[in-house]
Order: sequence, then structure tokens, then C-alpha cells
Amino acid sequence: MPIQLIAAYMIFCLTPLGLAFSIALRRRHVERALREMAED
Amino acid sequence: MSVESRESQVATRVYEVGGKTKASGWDWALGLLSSVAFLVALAMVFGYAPREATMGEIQRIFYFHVASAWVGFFGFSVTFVAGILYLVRSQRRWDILGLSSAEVGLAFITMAVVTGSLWAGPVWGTYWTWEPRLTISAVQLLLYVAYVMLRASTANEERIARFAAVYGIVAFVTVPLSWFAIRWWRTIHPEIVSSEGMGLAPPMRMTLFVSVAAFTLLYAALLRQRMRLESARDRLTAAQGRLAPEEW
Repeated sequence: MPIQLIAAYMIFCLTPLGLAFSIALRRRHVERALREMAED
Repeated sequence: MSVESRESQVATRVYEVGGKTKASGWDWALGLLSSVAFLVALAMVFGYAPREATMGEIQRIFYFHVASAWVGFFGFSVTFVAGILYLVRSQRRWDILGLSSAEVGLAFITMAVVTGSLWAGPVWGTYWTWEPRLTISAVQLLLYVAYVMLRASTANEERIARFAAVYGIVAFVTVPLSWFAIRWWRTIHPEIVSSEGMGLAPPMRMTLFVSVAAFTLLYAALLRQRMRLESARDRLTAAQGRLAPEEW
């Protein structure tokens, strides 16, 4: 199997996963700030 | 208003908001459905689609490459429509939709450009050539990177939203330009869909359709999550008393 094919499918699998994690982490950060404000 | 009642209002608002930012059943269902569709498409690419006679194994990049380009174009089209609606109605939800769709679309178009280059290496003998389709794709990529950078700015958010709406409408010109580039100009990029239909064997066509469907579902799932994040940010900003969303 050509190395370019393996690299391409790694990109196809990891990029959406990375974007999903990035969004989830940013949301977690905002939610924590909201919770802290509510507790204060 | 006394300081105490203001604090109590903020706390109540934050509490309500905290509940709404949690993922709903629909979010989980969409996430699960898109993951399953993605895995099915992946299995079809490597287990069902036949080996292409001329290019061999490397041609298998085609299925997800086309699907990512389609989602990128679709995402930028949504930003275009959302930009028009924001300028007409001045409602924050259209700005959120445009921003979220551009960010998700950018990720997919980046995948299409990078994997296209990986495919071109062994097939064309070069990873990059400044022919019309590739040049327009590179310009498009940079335009939307600039869009996302613009949105990261925090100064006068309403003004930036208005400017971004106009920018999203103008940058959209690269979508039809990219689509027609392989039809209008002499280019080495292959034309998949022509007036004579698709020159693909039925198993290849089926694999492509499943891949496009899987990527579209993935786009929808990511878009929903991204929009939810932006709404949560708005609520935080409102709770901090800097700007109320209803003022937009």
C-alpha cells in the first residue's frame, strides 16, 4: 500500500476527530467559566 | 438595580445557560450516526471498491478526497447564505451559523487540498502544480483561513460580524470558480461529473455516494457542536455583563 494513501487516510480520520476534540475542549472551558460564575 | 439583585439575576441566567449547553439526544444520535457512516464508508473504500486499473491502490484517495471537497464547498455555501441572512435580519443566530460553517468547511477543504496533493505525487509526478483548479483551491483555503482569523478578533463584535458576513459572501465566489475551473480552462485535474454523467464503475459510484453521505453527516454533527459552543460563549459574555446577545 503506498505511503501517500496511508498518510491521506490518517488525515481523513484524524482531522475531524481533532476538530471535534477542539470544539469539545473549548466548550468545556466556557461551561466551567459559567459554572464558576454561578457558584460565585 | 442593587448589586445583590444584579448578581442574583446573573447567577440565575448562568444556571439556565449551563443546562442548555449540554449535548441533547439528537447530538448524540447524530454523532453516533456519522461515526457509523464514516466507518462503513472506510470499509467500502478498502473492501468493496475495486482496484483502479491505471492508478492502482493510490486511487482509493479519490472517495474521501471528493467527499471532503464537497463538504468544504457546502460549508462555504452555508456561510454565504447565512451572511446574506445576517445582513438582512441582523440576528446573531445567522452570524453563529456562518462562522461555524466556515470553520468546519475550512477543516474539510484543507483535507481535500492536502490529500489531493498526496494523490498527485505518484500520479502526476509532482505534489503541486500551479494549474487553475489547484491555484483557486489554494486561494480559497487562504481566504477562509483569513476569515477564521478575523473572527478570532474580539474588538467590536457586532462590527466584525457584519464585516465577516460581507467577507463570507465575497469569498464564496471561489466555490463556483473552483467548480467550473476544470470545465472552463485547460487543466490536468480530472472532471468527475460531466454532461455525460459519471465515468465510474457501479461499486466505485456506490462507495463515492456513501463517502459523501458520511462526510455530510459528519459536517452536520460538527456544525451543531460548533454552534452550541458559540451560543455558550454568548451566554458567558452576557453573564459577564459585557454585552447582551439581544442587543445584536
